[in-house]
Amino acid sequence: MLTSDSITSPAAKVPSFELIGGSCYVRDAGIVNSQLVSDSERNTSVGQPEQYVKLDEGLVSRKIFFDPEIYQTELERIFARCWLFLGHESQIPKLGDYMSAYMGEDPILVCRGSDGKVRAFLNSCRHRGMKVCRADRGNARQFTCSFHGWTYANTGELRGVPLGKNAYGERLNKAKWGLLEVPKLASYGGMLFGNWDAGAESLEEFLGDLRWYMDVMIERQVGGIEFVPGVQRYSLKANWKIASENFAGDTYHLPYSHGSMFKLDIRQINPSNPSFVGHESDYYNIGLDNGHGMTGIVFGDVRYRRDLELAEGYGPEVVEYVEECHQRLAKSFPNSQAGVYALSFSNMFPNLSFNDFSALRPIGFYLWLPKGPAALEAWNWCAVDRDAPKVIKDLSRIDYSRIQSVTGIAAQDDTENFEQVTQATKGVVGQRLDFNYQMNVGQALLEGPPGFPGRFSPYISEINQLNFYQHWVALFDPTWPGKSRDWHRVAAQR
Amino acid sequence: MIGIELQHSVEQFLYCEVRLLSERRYEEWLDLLTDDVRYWMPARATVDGQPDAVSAEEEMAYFDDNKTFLASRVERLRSSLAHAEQPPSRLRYFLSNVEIKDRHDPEIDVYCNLLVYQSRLESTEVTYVGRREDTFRRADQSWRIAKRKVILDQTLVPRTISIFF
Repeated sequence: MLTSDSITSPAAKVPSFELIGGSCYVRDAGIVNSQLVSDSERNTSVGQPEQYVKLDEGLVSRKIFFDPEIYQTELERIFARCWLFLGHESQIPKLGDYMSAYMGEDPILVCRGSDGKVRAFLNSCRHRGMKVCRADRGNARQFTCSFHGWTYANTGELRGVPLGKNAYGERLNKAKWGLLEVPKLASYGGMLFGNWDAGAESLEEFLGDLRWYMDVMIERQVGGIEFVPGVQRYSLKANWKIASENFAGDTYHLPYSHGSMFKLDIRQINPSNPSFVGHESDYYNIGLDNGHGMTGIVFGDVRYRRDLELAEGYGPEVVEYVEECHQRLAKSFPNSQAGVYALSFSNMFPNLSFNDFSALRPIGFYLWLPKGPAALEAWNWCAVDRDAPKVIKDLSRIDYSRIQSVTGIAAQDDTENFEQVTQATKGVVGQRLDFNYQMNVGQALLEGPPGFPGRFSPYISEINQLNFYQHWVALFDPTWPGKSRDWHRVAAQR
Repeated sequence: MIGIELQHSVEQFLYCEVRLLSERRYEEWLDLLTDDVRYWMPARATVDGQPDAVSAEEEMAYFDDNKTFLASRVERLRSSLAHAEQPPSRLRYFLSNVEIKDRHDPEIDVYCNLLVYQSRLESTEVTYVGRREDTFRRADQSWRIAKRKVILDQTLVPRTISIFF
């Protein structure tokens, strides 16, 4: 439980901004860890995670996708400790702009305060817990709780309490009762991430080698990433990990789950849609530390050359744009890194998936918010390059709605499968079984190109899923001997 | 005043159209759309101070289709690998509050409320509630749909959408 005195009011501290590279900043709210994550160390009866995840055998128990106590432990040990995606700065450009978000099951209010600084707060009045903001987005100088009328500035301070002197006399120290600020906030390429663990590693450390690849996606944008206004939210009766691991590495599902889509000539939507057929050996899956996974990485300007060829169909402005994207990369990175150009499907542990195939297509962001052991809410955003030609921005937005969105011809079939997996595995006998991730167990990893970080496996493989669950185990059990590189250090700090 | 005959012909057209949708006679349904149809379902959100806000033209949409892509969706649904509709959902469409808003020959603007119930497999049940803002164009003694804007009331879509509105 939180106690009031253990939380330093965010308003009482001067926030510090620390630059880590051109496109990053970190905000440290100055909150000490105190009891914010104390529950995560409590003893539970869920047992040791290695009884559920047998990496050497390629087996993962079905229990971790349904058991309520495991789920509760995940909220404490994963979602209250990892860097979690909140949204993008382009969604709150003006002073006072705000948007709602979630970290685990905790509602979050992300505000650009009147002082220009971005902060994230638990969206809950400190008096009786009511949501202080009930809209998805808007602009406000202050938030007044609809229950008893406590009023908070958009910088988090408690400003006003109805009948203050009469009701409380001098007994209420308003400085102590500001909105609870998320202790760590970081922006990377405009993407905002929060972390409840004040002692956590930096976002940069958490991203680790994923950043080596994501930098390519971000640097390719001429005007920077811009989120198309609006979010798509939909419910799905399945565990959050089913969706995350799919983006982390499940290329195997593409031909059958999406068989109906590949029968269509989807290039009519956008000619830069990949054919997937016949070139599998050029593509790799890459597993990274901290559970991150990427699929379909291809080198040597393959994606750039395809873009260039297709750009000609849209005229000289688009050709020039694609060349500019490429030149930006060539200037910023060594040739080999620049030749990655775009990323395909990825999952940032735990629950932020994204895809990026081409400068002529949208970047899709898919956040899988846990809503119970067998329920999630998908929040989808479409992102474009702020300075892309209008024809490309329009094409990207439409491409997004037709393929990956809530009505998309890809998403529908995934969610049908995810829901029926849940239905078919929740019985007591079904729960005794394991899922099979044995495709590559006992096989050597592939050699990646020199200087490329990560563990390389073939385009069709299940190594990235095991990589995802390895980190899941490491977070679940701090004493587990196979702890990942960064967990060592984080554990030592605590 | 809207004449009874016009109101009647519009309502009969709408009832016939949703019957085709509920019976999944999608090829016949496509024939009711003009070749230049825009089929658009903007995203919704709770926005402070804008209670009726829907996403604008260049913002997020659930659907933003032309006739060619609607035909592709239908072609996909006919494939044995369209798992979301294999076997097909049971669908029931309810229309009400049919209002003819504006006449600009040969087109008229028609608004109506829409409730769609979807039942599939053992226990999946979904209800969508919203309204349509259509533009109909006269053709062959009847109507064709030239524009459809569907405004869903839910901001949290209950499930991925594998049907038409």
